[in-house]
Amino acid sequence: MSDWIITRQRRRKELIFWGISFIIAFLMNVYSIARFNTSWSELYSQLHIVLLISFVLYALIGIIRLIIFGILKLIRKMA
Amino acid sequence: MKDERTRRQFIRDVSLLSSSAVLGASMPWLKAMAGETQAGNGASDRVRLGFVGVGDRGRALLLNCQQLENVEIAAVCDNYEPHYQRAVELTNGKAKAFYDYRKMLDEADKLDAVIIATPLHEHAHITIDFLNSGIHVFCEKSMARTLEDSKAMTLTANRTGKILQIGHQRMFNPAYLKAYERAASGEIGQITQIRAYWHRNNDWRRPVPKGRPELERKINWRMYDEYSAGLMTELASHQIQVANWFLGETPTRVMGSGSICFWKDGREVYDNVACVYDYPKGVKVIYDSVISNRKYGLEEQIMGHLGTIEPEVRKIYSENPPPAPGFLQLINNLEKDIFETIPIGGASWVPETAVQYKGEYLVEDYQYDDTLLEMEGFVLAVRNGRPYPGLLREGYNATVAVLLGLQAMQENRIIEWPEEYAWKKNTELV
Ligand SMILES: NC(=O)c1ccc[n+]([C@@H]2O[C@H](COP(=O)([O-])OP(=O)(O)OC[C@H]3O[C@@H](n4cnc5c(N)ncnc54)[C@H](O)[C@@H]3O)[C@@H](O)[C@H]2O)c1
Repeated sequence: MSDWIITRQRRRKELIFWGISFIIAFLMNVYSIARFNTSWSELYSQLHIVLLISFVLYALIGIIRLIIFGILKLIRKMA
Repeated sequence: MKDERTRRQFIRDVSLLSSSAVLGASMPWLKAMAGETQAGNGASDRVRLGFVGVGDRGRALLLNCQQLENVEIAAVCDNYEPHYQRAVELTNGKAKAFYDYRKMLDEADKLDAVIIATPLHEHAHITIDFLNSGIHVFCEKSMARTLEDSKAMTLTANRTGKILQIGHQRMFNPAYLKAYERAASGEIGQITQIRAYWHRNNDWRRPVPKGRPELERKINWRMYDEYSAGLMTELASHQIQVANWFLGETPTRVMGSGSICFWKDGREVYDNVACVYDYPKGVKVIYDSVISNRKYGLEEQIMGHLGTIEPEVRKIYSENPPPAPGFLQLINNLEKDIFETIPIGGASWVPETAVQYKGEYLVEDYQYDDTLLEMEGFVLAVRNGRPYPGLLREGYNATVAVLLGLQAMQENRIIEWPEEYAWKKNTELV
């Protein structure tokens, strides 16, 4: 059985995806503070929720990526 | 207290609370206690206690006092053989035991104070006899079965200058003290109504030993009008005391209705009571108690125009709860948009059901046993030989209020607080 190797490139890519998720979650928090007129201290007091949501988004993006990857593979096979 | 951690924490909390201007002024016993907790605890400060009535409550109080430092249980008294024997066992035969409290009175010089936990109708004469013998008294609530007896007890305490403390332990409960402080600071606004209730689901009966029917009235004294005012003196008195205390007033009049509704077993006292107490300036206290359903348990809902306090569950609720963090609101809204069904026609009326705000805790979860703290308070007062100002007034006013409540129910009319039973400054009932 061959070992799974996570390349440096792959790690960088995943980190970028998670980073994007984090930024989106962070911006969502900024938006909700403005929208619901709550305290700006929530920018850091709610970081745990932001972090949690960033993982949820990362997982969602992961599912979308898997679907795209599957479709592309199928197209390539059929070509 | 043998549990030093509890003791130290309590002293710290009492000192902290009593340094609050609001509490210091309106609860003089707290301030006195904070001062006195610093006082000496040497061998000469040993307090010798006697117990009269070692039934359910007397036993609990005795066990509490055994936890206190520098306290000697010097005498016990109970006129019911099994309880007499139990008292002897609890004190390992070290305390002098009596069947008749009058014999205990003969040896009053060997006692500093007594703790009376007999049935209600046996409170007054025993208390008065001990006070007259120069002994400080802690008497369980309620004060007495009649208004006359309650007044006589108070007057005797005033005349002799001895301590008479009534067993309303909520005044020593840190959650109640904190609740009082927050109410007095104006946080819940103007209190307009207190809704208090105590619901249980049991018949309140105790088993009588087989072949001894003559013990029925002694053991089940709570069931008989001659000895007890039932739910009013047994349960309501704690909660009406809280209401009087938080409002800083006594009721002007009371109306009520009582019935024997569920436990039709020959009892004479109501198993279902409801009263409305009118206080000055239109404030109302609405009270009810049943012993055929326990879903709502017990609570005093202290309602102001800015908030509500429920001290039994140690909570305070604002009328305008702080909004949830924006991000959570956003997520909630998204969730609603995705999962909730959308009505086609808008509802013309939305039921005004209770606000679903979970509130804020008044104090952290704590280990306190307020009865233990109350006993510690009493022993400190005895050691210093001075009653805490204000405490007896609370016990007296609560008893008068619940007895008037019962009278309103029994006579089926509105009862005004009689002038001769008003607790006034600079009168004989000071
Ligand atoms: N503060 C509280 O939370 C609280 C809780 C429970 C009871 N109580 C009060 O405590 C009191 C006692 O209640 P209880 O449930 O312990 O009753 P109980 O019937 O269990 O005990 C009363 C005891 O007093 C004894 N007794 C009666 N007459 C006596 C006399 N003349 N001399 C000596 N002993 C005598 C009885 O034999 C019995 O052992 C009541 O006033 C009750 O309202 C207060």
